Amino acid sequence: MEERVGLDAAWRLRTAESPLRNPREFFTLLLVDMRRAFYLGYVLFVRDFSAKYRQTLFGYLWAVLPVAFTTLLFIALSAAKVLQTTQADIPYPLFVLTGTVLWQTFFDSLMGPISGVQRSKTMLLKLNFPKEAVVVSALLEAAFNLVLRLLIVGVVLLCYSSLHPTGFLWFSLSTLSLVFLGTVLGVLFVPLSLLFHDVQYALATFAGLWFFATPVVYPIPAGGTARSLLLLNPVSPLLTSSRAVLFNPEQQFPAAYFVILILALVTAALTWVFYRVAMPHVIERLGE
Amino acid sequence: MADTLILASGLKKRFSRDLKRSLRYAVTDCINDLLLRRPEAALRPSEFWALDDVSFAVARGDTLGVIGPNGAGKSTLLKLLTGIIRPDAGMAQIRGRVGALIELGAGFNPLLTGRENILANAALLGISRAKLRRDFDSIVAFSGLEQFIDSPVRSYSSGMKVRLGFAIAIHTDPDVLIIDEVLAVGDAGFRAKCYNAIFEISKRAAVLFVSHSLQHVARICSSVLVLKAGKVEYLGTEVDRGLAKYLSFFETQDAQDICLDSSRITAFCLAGFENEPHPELPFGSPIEIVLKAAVERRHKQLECNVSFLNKGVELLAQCSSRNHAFHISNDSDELRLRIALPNLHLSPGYYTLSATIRDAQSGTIICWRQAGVSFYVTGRIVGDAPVQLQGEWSIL
Repeated sequence: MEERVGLDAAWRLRTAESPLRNPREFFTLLLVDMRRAFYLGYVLFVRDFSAKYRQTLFGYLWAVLPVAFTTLLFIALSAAKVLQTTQADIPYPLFVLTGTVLWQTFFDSLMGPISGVQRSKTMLLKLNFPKEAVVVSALLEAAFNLVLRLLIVGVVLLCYSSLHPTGFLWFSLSTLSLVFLGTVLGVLFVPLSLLFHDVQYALATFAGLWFFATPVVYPIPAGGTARSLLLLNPVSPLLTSSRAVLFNPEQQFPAAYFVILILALVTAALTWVFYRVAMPHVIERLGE
Repeated sequence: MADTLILASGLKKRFSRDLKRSLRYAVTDCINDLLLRRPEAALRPSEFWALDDVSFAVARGDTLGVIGPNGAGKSTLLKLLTGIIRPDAGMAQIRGRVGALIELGAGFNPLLTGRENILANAALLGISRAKLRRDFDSIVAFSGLEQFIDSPVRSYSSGMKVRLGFAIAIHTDPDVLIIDEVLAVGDAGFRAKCYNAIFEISKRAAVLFVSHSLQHVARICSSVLVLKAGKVEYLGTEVDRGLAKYLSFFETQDAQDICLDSSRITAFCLAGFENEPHPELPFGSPIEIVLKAAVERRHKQLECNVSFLNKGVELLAQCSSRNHAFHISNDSDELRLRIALPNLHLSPGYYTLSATIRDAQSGTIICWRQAGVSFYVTGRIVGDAPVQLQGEWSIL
């Protein structure tokens, strides 16, 4: 009996009423489910991760290859003078590598919950389990990929003799802000992405545009309209400030950084409620 | 007072036939919930009631059979009770831990081994780590897949996957067990093992059993709920009456003729029941089938075949003139045949007969009448198979 989860032993009532009409029960269930979601999310992560690279020759190498290749591509473009940047403080390869790692971390966190629920459609249709588990599983995958990428960054920084342990520690912690922002936006899009395929099409269409509208491979200009526009992109302050922790702290945007984090925190709370309310409505429209 | 574990009251669920509208309604319903608005009570354009005012209660130790034709709302009901979707009116209350044998092995990853999939599937079904550690060997033993447990699930047959899925699901130790037609796959031996397991659980749980197998419903259910187009057609403990109600849904199956040239079947009936559309025949009684046809004379030699089908138009048995070396010459204006069967050994249920007339030389089908005759077999015969052979039993 000790293993029965929270409200399982009590009556579970299912009505047409909005679950928010009984906030106490809604939030109690939310907490009860969260406990299960962490364990289940971990199990799903292990399951998916074990299976992901099982039918590959290069295995876990695929977790780091995309970042490595993007970095090499931009280094090559820069060396060939195809890309002209005003970045002069630090070696361009380091600048691009850290930028790409941060961007990829954000983008993986954004897409993780969306592709996670797409993969779990059959389960969602047939089993009742805390849907947060899919998000937890996506978060764990993003975190794992991040750790691998941070190792690459650390090794490259060592090669350039630019590794300052404190700066690197803060950089690593700061990447979590991008994981957080990406996940919050991803979860916000999940219900809509299950209903309308426009979301996936739009993300695929605008991902490239978003990448170039973020100071990943170039620095934020010192002034002008471009600077203002770039700062409207919520990823820019987080990415630039995180990178600046490593190289040039004076280029941080602490105010924008914390405003975005606070906004993301508020959005996260609202998104969580929205996700729980919306998912049953979405699941019944999924079909086989 | 009965220890009621499942209580449904005035349950309603609507779906839309139109995809785009259905997606828009999903958005509207979400917004209504977020703004604490009450859901719209009436049907919106293109919607229909998949479940309409369904009420019942199941107590611990009881097994409720849920039967109905396709589209009756059975799966919707199960999804409402398991909490996968929410009702549009009424309420469902469940007390205790819910175990669902719905889609066995949902969430199996084909690349992972049976062992790895047990870990993931058990977590999905809500089995805790501690309980899984205790029950792991028992799960593997129940599945009978000890030798394959470290092989990837993609190498399993569909029956093996069901075995593994069932073995995990019954270890959820449920108070409420919901079973949805999951035992159609798997060999007879494993099915028997499953029924025994279900029977054991049903002693201490409230069970909801959805099946098209009337024999299974008759055997394990203490009451029955008959659904048709979302509405309750029968609810009660007289399981026989419920099954009869269910069978009556198929009485309207119209006879269909397909004939070559101008040939035609003029009569196809059971002798003595010419004017009864659905006669009741006691198990084991003799029957006589009458078949009359006008077949073009160019077909000199004929072969006739009578097929027994169940309500799902599944072929169960045949009686063919060819296998009796009975030669039929087509030398009169009307062919008149009588087929006498001394014992009707079909399990109680509803059956239809189809007749085929072929050209014996070319094998071409000249006339085919589908569902030309229908009848009930009655009696208290219990068994899983549609045909129950009657043997002479003795102790040696």
